[in-house]
Amino acid sequence: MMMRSKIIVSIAFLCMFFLTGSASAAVDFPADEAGIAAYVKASPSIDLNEAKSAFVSIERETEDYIIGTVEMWGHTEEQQPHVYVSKDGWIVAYYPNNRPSSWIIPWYSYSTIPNGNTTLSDAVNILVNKVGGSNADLNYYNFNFPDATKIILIAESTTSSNYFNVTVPNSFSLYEAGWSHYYPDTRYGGSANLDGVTFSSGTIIHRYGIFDTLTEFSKGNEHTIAVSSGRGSGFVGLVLVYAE
Amino acid sequence: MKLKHEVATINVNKNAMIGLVFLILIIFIFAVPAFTETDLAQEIEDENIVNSSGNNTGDQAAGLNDTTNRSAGPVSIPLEKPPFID
Repeated sequence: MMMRSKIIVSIAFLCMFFLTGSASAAVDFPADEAGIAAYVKASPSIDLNEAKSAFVSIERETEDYIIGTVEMWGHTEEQQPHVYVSKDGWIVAYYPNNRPSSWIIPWYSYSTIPNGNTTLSDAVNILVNKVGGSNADLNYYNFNFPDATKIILIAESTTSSNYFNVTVPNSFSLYEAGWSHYYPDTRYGGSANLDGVTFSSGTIIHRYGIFDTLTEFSKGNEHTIAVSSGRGSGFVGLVLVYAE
Repeated sequence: MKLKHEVATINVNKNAMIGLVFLILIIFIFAVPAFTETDLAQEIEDENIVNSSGNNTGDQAAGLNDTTNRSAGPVSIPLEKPPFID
């Protein structure tokens, strides 16, 4: 009789351990490697064998999760974000922490930017479409800046020259001012500049970087981001990471 | 006539009691977070938190290969710490 009680108690403890553990686990997510990320609890569980077929490359695979990259039309291998998917239902798309947040600008689906589309949300959607579930609760986080509460995307395009102005209020905390310049033409040069100073130029450009938030992109001052194109379309984007 | 005094006893199964206690514990553990957890659903807002201006023509319908003059955003996205990290 005593033995039976012990078995019941042990089973109850095991149930508590496994059930509480699965509520918000995302086992071994590499938080120390991630920078900007989009994440969603797509469903209570995910069949990793099914998810596996969505990956074009796999970097890490355990019985609990897979990390790899998914095929994204029009994106170079470098532009494809890392995607983590766990058997307890989490999908996280992220760029490594040494890349600025401006990598999320989806140059190949420019017209979807006003809808909130990013390269990260596109990658998450590919996995959700593959394994089922929902992306309705998609959220973003920047592991480099835990105190940041928002990011903002602004993009401009041109077939000759164009610009936009931005002023970050002094009351904001500005953590990062990331830029991206996209110019696909192979013969005639395009350029992008900040306040009249060229920061990117050439042909066949997919470039990303950051402005120094103290000297180049200071708060309280209006800054002009301009883009020019020698032929075809040229694009420039700005992604600010901040807290109000 | 002597009245017969009967004592009613309830036979409690010890194992059933232990099971019941743990069932209540498990329900409690899951019920509390369900009521305290914040709603993770966040809509990506299109708002002018940062003051920006410029030439904003024809941006909504323009595809990448479209040659019309256009711009996109500003699009503001809230950041929220994932529940799976400490």
